[in-house]
Amino acid sequence: MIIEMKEITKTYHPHKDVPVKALSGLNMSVREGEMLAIYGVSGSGKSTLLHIIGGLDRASSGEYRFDGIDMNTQKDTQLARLRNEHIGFVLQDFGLISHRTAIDNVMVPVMFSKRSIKEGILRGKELLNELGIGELKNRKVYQMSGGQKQRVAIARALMNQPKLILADEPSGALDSTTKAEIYSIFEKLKQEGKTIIVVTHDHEIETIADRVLQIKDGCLH
Amino acid sequence: MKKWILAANIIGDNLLSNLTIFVFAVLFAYLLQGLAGSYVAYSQRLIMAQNVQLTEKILVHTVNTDLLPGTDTPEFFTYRNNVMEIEGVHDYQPISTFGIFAPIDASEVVLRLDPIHSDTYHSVRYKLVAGSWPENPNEVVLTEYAREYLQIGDQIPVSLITIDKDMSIESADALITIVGFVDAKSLIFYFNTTSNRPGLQDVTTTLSLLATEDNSIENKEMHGFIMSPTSSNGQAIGTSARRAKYIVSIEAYADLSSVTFELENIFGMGRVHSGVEMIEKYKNDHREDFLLLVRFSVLLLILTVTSLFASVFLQLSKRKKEMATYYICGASWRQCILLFCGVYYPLIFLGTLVGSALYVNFTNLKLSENGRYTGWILLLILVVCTIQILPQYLAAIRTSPVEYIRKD
Repeated sequence: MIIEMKEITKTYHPHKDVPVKALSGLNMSVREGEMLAIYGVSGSGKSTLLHIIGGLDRASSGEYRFDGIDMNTQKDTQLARLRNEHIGFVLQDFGLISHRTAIDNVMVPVMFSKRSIKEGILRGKELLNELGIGELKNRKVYQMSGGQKQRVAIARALMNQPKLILADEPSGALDSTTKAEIYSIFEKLKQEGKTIIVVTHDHEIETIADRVLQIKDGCLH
Repeated sequence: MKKWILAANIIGDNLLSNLTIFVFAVLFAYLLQGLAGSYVAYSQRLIMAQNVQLTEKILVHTVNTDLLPGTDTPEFFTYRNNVMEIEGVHDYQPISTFGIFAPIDASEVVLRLDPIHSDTYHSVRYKLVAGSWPENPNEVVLTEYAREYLQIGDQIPVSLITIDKDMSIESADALITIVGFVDAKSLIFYFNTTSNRPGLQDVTTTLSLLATEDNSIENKEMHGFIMSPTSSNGQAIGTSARRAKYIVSIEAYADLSSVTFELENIFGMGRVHSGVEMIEKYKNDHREDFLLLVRFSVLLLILTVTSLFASVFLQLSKRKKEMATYYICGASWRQCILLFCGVYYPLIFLGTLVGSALYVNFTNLKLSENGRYTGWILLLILVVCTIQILPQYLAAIRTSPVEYIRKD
């Protein structure tokens, strides 16, 4: 199992006296190479779950192992390294630096890795070509369409050849044609053996996902 | 290396604001260097005035009279009895005036020598650092600077040049003997004014200060005292025309204004100046200059700090999405914040050094002289900046990056 979660809870304190429970006693495991879709309405805790899986946030309690590593005991710098080397993120709003070019954005994970810049540029160009936007490598992100931006985001997620790809509403900001194109990219990645977790409220993902879970009130069903 | 490239890109994104902060830091350091340097020089003179108890002294100059051809020169001894009879006068001495120029034959070095007389010997406040005091004609003590060129026992042929009361130059060959060297920080009086309202700036109280003002080392001009200057043919060289500045010490109980009045009766109006009056004039002359410098320095400090605060605030609020992107891609949160806010300390540090270096360069000072001011300025500006930056930095560190990801 690449991911094992037991009794995970997450409580926020947006106001000091009013705790908000986003996850409550969540259990989950994911096999390597599996594509998992997690549905949930707004506020159900799906993004919180994704953040904890990706090491962006920590669980309030419970046990979480990623590829055998106890994520609760990792220091911030160790979590940062794990994110850099083993996890790729694709976000709904793309999470790109809009005033920089596509290749600059794709290169961001390289800047925090052991990979050389030269090697990174070669890999970045290759990824952009594979995703069909090779000719846009020097275009600023703000000059791109939604589909092109999401491709750049996927290229960036794949840059350091991660074991796990996490996608948070990857089709949320896209039209139906572009959405289909992005899903076909995910399907191809799945066939290449990548472990992918997608949280979404879009049921079309069912057609390519190996497993579908629903999150409601902080628990998986 | 890669992180430096990333940091350079981020600095480049904020080039204008970074440049503004840098320029303000440069200007602030430059002004503060000027302020610190001027204030120290200003204070040193006041301290020296205090050390020589100038408030209990009255300076008299008769140089205007001396330099008018045909006018009688008021000799020191002529008025000695009259002055000493004034109620409250403790002492009456000539002031060092460097009455003789003595170019050393076959060298570029010029000695400025003040003749000392056995009666006025004790008015010299040099401290010997080597050798002995002059006791015989043409024996000379020089400031320690001269040791670079001369040593004790040297007998040097010089031309003793004096200017007499008719403004004519007289020269006589002589052989002088170096018998000692004195500490250049020792106190002397050198009163250089023809003004009717002299200030403390017209009084030099150490040879080192005089050397700085005249840039004497570079001019290869040395200062010292000579006993009974005598030409090679045995003729005594008179220097009365240049010996026309005197210092009168008064008793603690004496009424300054009445002593001044009595002295004016002897030497004439406009030639008698109390130390108190000179100190007050000096302070008045400098007060406005300092206030102006202080105002500009404070203004620049405020501008620097305000720009810094605005810049950090904008970075942390407007570029949080970019910071979150780096976080997602494998940077720790502390690293993300430092990437955006870490540039300011080096920027201000560099600005302060550049400002200080420019000041040193433009004012031809030695870096070592202003080094400690640079340290203090750096400390001041870094402390003030830390007070500005630290709360924002700590608040950002405490905020979870997930909040930035969620909101955006």
